Amino acid sequence: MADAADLRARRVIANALKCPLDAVSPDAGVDTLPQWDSIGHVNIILEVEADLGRKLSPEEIAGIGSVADVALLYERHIASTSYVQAGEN
Amino acid sequence: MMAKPSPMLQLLETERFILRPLGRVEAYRIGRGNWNHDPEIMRNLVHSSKPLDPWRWLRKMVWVNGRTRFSHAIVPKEGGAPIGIHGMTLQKYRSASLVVAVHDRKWWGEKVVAEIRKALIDHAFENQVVDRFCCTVQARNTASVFNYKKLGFKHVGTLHRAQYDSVSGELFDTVIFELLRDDWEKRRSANG
Repeated sequence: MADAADLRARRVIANALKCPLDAVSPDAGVDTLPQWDSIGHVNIILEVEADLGRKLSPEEIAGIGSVADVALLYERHIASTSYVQAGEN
Repeated sequence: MMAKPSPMLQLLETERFILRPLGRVEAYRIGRGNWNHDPEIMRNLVHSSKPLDPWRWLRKMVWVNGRTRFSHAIVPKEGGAPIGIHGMTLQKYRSASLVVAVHDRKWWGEKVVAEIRKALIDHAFENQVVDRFCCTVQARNTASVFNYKKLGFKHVGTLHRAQYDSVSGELFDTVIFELLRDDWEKRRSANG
């Protein structure tokens, strides 16, 4: 699950920053990725919200500063949707 | 014996700007002259698009007293009029907060705020003025949130439905960011 979340986070960030997936390493963040500037950050938040289909909470917005932070959001999302699906079955 | 002037009254320099210390009259003149009739700036600063009358402006917006409230004009090194102002307020227990407002729209999107904030924070820590910065920002002002994170600030709290925008009629959440001297020193040594 962690790998899937990690890859999804890297894809969304690469898409938001308009850079190749290879440029977004799993340990990249605001300090290491040159394309990740304030405009890029706004785009990342919007892309993640569109991908998750919901607005991020203030805590989630304030918590995003690296690929790992976005991956953690996806891990929680995957865990919560799996739980819902398991409950429905 | 006269008290030593605060290091925050010094002229500062960044890569692209001179930060010229302002007195109360000039801070009033530049701030009110450039911001008061710009609804977009006023909305960001006071959550209302209406201009403030002079007395209200003095009470609410003029910072400077040279002891606990400081302001610098942001002047491009290439010359010309100030493009904005910052305000820094010292609080109890060696804490401080910062506000930066750029009224010259030509400079919007040019990373001015990040450059000014970094210079002021570095100067305040280097000169032992404070041990902590604490700033509050609208949660969905993601560009500003980014700037704080880039400078090493940590999210330490959230205030839900804490502010009101009289233009949209919406209540909004704010997030609190903090930067402690220890963390600033660690980042500085890590970055060489």
